[in-house]
Amino acid sequence: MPEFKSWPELSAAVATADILAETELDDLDSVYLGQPYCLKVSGNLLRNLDELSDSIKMIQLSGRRAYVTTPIIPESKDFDSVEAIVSRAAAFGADAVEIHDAGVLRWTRKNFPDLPVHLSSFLNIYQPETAIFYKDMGVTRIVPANELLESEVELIKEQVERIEFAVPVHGSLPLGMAYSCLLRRNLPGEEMDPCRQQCAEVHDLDMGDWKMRCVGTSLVSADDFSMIEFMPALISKGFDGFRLETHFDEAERISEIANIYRNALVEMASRGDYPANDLKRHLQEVCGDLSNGWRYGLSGKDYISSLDEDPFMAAKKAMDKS
Amino acid sequence: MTKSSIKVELMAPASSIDTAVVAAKNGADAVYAGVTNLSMRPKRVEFKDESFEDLINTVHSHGSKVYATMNICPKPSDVDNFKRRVSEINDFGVDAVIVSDVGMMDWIHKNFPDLPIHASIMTSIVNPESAQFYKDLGASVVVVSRSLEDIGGVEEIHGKVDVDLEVFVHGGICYMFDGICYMSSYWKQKWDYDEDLGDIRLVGQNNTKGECHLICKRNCSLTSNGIVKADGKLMRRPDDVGLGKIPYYLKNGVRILKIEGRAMPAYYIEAATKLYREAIDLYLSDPEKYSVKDSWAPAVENLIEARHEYERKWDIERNLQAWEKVENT
Repeated sequence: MPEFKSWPELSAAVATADILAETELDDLDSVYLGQPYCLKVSGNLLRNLDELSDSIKMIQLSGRRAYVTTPIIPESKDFDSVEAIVSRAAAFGADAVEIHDAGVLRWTRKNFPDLPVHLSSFLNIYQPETAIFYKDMGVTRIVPANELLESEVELIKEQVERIEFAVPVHGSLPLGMAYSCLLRRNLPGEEMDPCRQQCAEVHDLDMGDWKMRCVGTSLVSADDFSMIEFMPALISKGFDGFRLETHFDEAERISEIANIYRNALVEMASRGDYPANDLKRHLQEVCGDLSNGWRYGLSGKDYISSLDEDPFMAAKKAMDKS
Repeated sequence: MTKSSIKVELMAPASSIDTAVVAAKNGADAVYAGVTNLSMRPKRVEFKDESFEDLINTVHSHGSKVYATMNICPKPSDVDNFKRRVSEINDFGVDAVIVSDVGMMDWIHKNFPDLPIHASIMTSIVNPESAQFYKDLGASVVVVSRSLEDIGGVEEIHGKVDVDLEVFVHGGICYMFDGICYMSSYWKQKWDYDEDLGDIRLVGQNNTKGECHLICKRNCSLTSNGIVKADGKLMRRPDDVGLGKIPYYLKNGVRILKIEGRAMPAYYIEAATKLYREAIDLYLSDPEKYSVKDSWAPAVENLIEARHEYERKWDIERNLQAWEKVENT
């Protein structure tokens, strides 16, 4: 049985009050509230602050932690919204705010120094000294850069103490934030304003032999990222948070994904093992194809199985050959 | 350094000592040049240890400055090399370093307090609080994001933060905000041998190695349920031509106007530098009478065409061929 340094918190992202109302929360320890990619998304909790307040209360009453996310890259004209969101989160006792932008971080620390802050992967934490800087600023939790190898994440974690580390274990991974909505710029008959919520339908950006999912203002992985086969290794390393990046998912899908990962954690805790292949198959039934390649030295869209040959050894062999 | 403590500067790219001299001779007040493995561009346009000293001495002899671009996000294994190179180029007499990694910026400021730091375009500064964050961290100049949807954001930052601003005034422009684009490594990432490191390394990451595959310049199609809704170069943005924005920039705290294109050939750098030198001098001579001259139009068209041609012939093909080579080994 792997050594449990700490019990990881399983969190999911929920964009709207409607989705929250229908999501089965039993398998989750915490919820990140709001859609950080675009404030214009219909029902986004980040622009319905009364609903945001109610959602915080509802989640906390259920015994879970409620975190509030913030816009990813707010221009000056949108900064009032950021201030309103963070102020509301603080006033209603959110357990933390999730921040993606250095300016939002500065403003939040200055105005709400007691409000716990989680930093997302958009803050590009690629090495220990960057993590230490943010820790010294008072940040309580970080997500190391998604492009890092698993061994590099581990190295940063070893060198940086007294800050929580969270890692994505499943979901849509961000590939880029666009300066302007790609759907509204490109769909026939679309106007830039008002927004017709075309992102409610699934759109892909097909590059020929590969694709990304287009969610309007950003591109995310076409296939869900999944670490389902690597849970023992992740648990043994003592990560504080396991994130389900479900910003674009409906309630049923969020609930099913959360249940699969909860089952893995419970099985690991009770008998030190879990049916990885069964859970992976179940995930594929819910989500389709999966990816996880960045962590193991291939492209982000690849999937590495724990049953495969060690990818690092394979790479070295290829080099020796050439 | 505070507002207006430096005069207006035109900054041009340098990919070799020859292109740096071309830029300096044609009116660049400063050139920016990449430090090998640390600058978000291919190695062929970066400078190794000894050549950076030659670059600084040569450019200084022409009366211009040299800013060292070190704007990758170093991985743990890159940090020692990053620090060594900062120390080295500081000894060489570099005029500033352009950095994006927060940890490295903090380290530079603490260890080399007299070395000016520019917060790179990769920091994606789009609001005053963000500019202030990097000023607090030690940056004397911040590069405002070229992806601002609302150009008025420059004025907003200038009005609230006492820091000199730098903007890209001409050149290619990404669809995604700089520094938070991971499309290249999502598409492809491979292990390859690095002569400088003497070891294999991952190739394909934009933020950490500058291996941009120009995904946003490529043809693609937007589909929904298998139906094509739009196709073409959907993410491509027209080149930024900032001649008309010079008055706005210079009235709003911009002190450094920068030409994009470290991967571009000497003739492009010469033409772009000459054009923007003339425009800036025209504005500074009589700001009220400044307007974009019709006679500049052919030069602008040539620059745009040259960039597209170069991109077609070199960047995209180079990347594709390089990948085919790796895949065939």
